[in-house]
Amino acid sequence: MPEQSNDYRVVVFGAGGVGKSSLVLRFVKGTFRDTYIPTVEDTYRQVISCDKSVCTLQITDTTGSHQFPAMQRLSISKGHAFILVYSITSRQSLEELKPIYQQVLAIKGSTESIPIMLVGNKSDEMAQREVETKEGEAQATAWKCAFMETSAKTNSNVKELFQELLALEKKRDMSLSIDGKRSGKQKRADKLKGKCSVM
Amino acid sequence: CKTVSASLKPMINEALICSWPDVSGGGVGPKPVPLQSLSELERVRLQDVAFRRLLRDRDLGCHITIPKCGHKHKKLLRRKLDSLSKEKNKDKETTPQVFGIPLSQVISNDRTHKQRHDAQREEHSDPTELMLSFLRLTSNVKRANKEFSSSTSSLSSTSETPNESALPGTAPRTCRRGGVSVDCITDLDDNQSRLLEALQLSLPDEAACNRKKHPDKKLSLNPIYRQVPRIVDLCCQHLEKHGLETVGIFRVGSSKKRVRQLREEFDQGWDVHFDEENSVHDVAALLKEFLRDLPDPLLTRELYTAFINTMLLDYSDQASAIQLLIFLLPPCNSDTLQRLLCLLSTVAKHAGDKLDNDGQKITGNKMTSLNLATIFGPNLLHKQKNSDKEFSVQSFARVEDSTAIISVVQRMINTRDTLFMVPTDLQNEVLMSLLETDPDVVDFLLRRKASQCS
Repeated sequence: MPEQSNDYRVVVFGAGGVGKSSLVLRFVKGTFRDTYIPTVEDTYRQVISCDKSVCTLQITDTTGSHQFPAMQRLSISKGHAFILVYSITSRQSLEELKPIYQQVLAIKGSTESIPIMLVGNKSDEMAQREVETKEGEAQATAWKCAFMETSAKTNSNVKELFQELLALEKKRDMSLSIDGKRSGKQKRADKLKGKCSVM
Repeated sequence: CKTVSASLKPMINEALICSWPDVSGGGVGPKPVPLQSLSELERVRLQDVAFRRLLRDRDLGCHITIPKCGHKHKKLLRRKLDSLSKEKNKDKETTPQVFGIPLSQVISNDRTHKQRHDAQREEHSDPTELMLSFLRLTSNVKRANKEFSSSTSSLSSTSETPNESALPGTAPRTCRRGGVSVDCITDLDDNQSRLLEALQLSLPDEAACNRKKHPDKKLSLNPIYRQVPRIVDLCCQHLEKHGLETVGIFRVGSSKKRVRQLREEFDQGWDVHFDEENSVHDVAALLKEFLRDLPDPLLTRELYTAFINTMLLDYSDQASAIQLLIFLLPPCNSDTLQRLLCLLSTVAKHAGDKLDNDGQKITGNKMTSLNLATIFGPNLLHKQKNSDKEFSVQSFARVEDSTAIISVVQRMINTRDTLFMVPTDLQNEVLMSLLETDPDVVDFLLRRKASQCS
């Protein structure tokens, strides 16, 4: 796929109802709604700093409920980075990420240089937890990708998730803040320790 | 026959007179009737009437054609099946019986399996048992008179099985008469076998496919054998029983592995049954997968643009335009759609939280008609070709389309009570059109309608 612009495309995958849209909306708009609405496909754009200039971070929020395989292949081939979301309250939702990861691997050839973040969302719902943090970490180790637990509802680790994902991209130097100050990013990265682990 | 028609003349006139000046408006005359209660002949005419109506009254801004039943695809597949069946056992494993093949083919496969199944059973049963089963079936049919439930289909397929057992030749005939689901012809005696022949439930294979060669000649006067694939019926029943209170039903994911297994079982022609062990999410996913994998989507590729464009009409015209388009669909498509919408509207009714009799809160499934339409829309209405292994980007719905797809399907779910009821004005137009070609048939149909109303 030819590079049409210097957009940086992030694609969010995951089973239905795990909170993909909630994460994206919390990040993009800073809001959370306790509604239950499935997504067809939405794309959000945000300007970020990239290689001392600016570029558009394009986040594609996919549908979890009915994957037309062709649609999925298309999103993967266009994407630069991927967020694979499951809900810590559903083991099944983690299971469902496996074929998606395989698909990414198959299309991209290798995931070595591709930023991928495995995300266990709904970390606020401790009482309903089905997937332990350790299991998420183990899966991420197996996939050689980063891992984080988040809560879109309580705004825990959401901004950090996107920041970390951009930091994983070695081909470009990206940061969420447009002024490009390095110090801010440095600080946040310190704050993150313990919450996320890069494998 | 002549005398019957003569004695009925006043009645027809009455019916026509009170409805004729009133073609556009409903009003006087009989009530709307269920689409499935129409005879095959009426349904085919209704297609034409709806088609003319759409061209005349509704500007959908696109070319409309009546979707063909079966397509070339079917013939090709037939040929393929025939050639494969020579290799006998191999064929069973390699040719899918349910997924990814045309709807009409699925229904026809269902029938073949049923017949094989019944034939096997009959081989082992003695004549008394057989007689008893006929009696049971006959009583089933009486009960099923209005609904044309699956018992009707089981009967009609039984009547089709070669029945060479110890019973005298009259038994199948008795059974056939039982299969005729109309009260007013039970007084016909066996001598009028030709009429009986014409009155039999039509079977999916014969329906509409021979139409081109012999226009209307072979069309039955009885309602068409209800054409819903067994897999759709099974999934709907299971979900109605176990899935109505499941939060996020149809949205939440399923086990890919178990779904694949179920799919293979269906495709190999197994006699699959669901029980409480089957996760509702798996069954929901299976149903979606079946619809998604149809070579031609349920609402057909031909009518894709027309359905989408109904949303450009004035709000008050939208529902009737959708209804007219549904009347254009082949019977197997509209029957299956009806079954599906029945399930979806039931699911939507359980979306909100409720209080039970003891004042306890029951959590709703949160799947409103909008949510269900978002999920089912792209499965029912698309113009993508599954056969294209190499997908093309252009074939995906544009964003505007996808909003319209959801609105159309949401409207269908919300109006499904009236969607499959044929309005009086259309009924009259069908009768008027038949009066020109087959006046005798109109006699019969009116007489039956009158007897059903009383």
